[in-house]
Amino acid sequence: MIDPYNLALGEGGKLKMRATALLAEGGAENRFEAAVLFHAAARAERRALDSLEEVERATSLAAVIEICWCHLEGFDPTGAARVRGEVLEHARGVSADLAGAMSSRLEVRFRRELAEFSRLFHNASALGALRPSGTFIAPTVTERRRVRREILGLLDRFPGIPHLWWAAYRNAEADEEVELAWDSLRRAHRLDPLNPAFEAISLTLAPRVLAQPELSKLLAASFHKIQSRTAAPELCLQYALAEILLAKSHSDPEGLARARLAVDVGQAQQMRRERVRQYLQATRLLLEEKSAGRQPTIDILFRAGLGDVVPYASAKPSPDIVSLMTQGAQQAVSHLADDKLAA
Amino acid sequence: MKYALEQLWIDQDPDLVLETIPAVLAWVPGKTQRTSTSPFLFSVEKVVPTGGDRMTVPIELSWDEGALTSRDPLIPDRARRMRSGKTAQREHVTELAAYGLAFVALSVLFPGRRVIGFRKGLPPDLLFDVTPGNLRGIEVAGRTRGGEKALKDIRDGSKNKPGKRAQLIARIDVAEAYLSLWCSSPRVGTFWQVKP
Repeated sequence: MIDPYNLALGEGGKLKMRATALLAEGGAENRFEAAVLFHAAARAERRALDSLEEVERATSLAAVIEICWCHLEGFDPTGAARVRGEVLEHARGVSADLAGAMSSRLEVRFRRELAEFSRLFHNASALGALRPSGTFIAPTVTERRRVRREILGLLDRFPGIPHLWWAAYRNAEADEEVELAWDSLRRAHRLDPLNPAFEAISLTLAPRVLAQPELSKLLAASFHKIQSRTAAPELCLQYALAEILLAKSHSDPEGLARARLAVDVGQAQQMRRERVRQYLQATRLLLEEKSAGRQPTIDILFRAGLGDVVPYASAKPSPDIVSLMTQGAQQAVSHLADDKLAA
Repeated sequence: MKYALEQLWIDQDPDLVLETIPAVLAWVPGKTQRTSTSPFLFSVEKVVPTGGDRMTVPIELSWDEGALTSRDPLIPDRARRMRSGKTAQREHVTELAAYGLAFVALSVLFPGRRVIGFRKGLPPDLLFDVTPGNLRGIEVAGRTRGGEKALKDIRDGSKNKPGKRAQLIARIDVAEAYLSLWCSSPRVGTFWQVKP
């Protein structure tokens, strides 16, 4: 039997070699693909480290240095900066000479890349001005265009920062440029497939851009994760709502059964965000109403603890409940990713 | 010693060597016509620290493009893209080609040893034993010109830059380490055993 440590390290090594070859071949798309592979290699290195029961300090330091380096090679200084704390902590566990010998290559590169990113980010004044607000969507079309130009300028140099792709998606979606929004969102998701918001929001945008066969494939892949209990609550929520929306246009009892399972799986997990928990509960209530043959009303939002949302939601006496929930849930899940960019 | 590049598929992990071969094809011949025909002779200095044994091993590297393309039809195109690349790419081409040559040297000098891991953030780059706390591997670097002097600078460092040899010696988690350094013009290389 091959042990998981060797397996994960071997996988990471191959990903890095492939990524280096893509960089050597050149081209913007190859740089992005290399970034995706380096991010995958960082995750493989993390799995290798996590698979060890007892870890010598030098071994754990070497592992986090390599993870940090993978983010730098993958044009993601912000990802490297997140791992940097671990490098400093683990370095304290070995002698200064050893720590120096192990991290000298990283130190030089890290400082250079971080300085370059900071310089470019501070030049992106429209983007920087939005940061304290916790959202990267500018209020007007003109401002959004400027923000997008600045984001794309940053991505040209650092195409491996998932949250910049997310910000590009948010601004493009606000301007109804769905193709561009989809491309940006998919790139964010490919760089960071473990981010529950990227994957979950894909399900809300997909019906607007994908043809039926591709959409079915995407939903099937999400349902597979739900069945195997590996889907995050955010994905479960958006999947259930996507199935409910599809069932609206063509009656599909199986789709509603899949939605019910998604809600069960989502609610069985710990939630990062209260709003996600409340929308999952509202979705459960909505499915119960439908299976009892009743027309769901706005009351389910009150019953799910979302009463504070209702006064702001719609001026209509009987608003479309599914559409209200879809918009609200999308906002709740999106805030998870917005938070990563906020100050 | 003669070595055919396509032999790497047998001697080493095919998934790892596949990515280095286009770079070897792009980098080793260099730009000048006079010396750009296979086989290419590398004068490799093999140094063992115990007793300071030193020997020069000529490695005559050749390849059969047909045999390479039968493994991967994209190799000639990828090599062409690497050859015509911009400055930023060339650094990666040199790096990859040096890995490829290190695979060759390992296969020639230590038959049976296979690389199973690859790290970029800290030495050694190519690992043939990944046992935690007891790593064994090769640190690799390449230079387009400068010959033995350039390789010596990499090994021993300079005023502002520590040498790779000292970095490997300081690593208590590395049990066995080699330096595999390459220059394409003139074609020289070293395979220096740093420890034990």
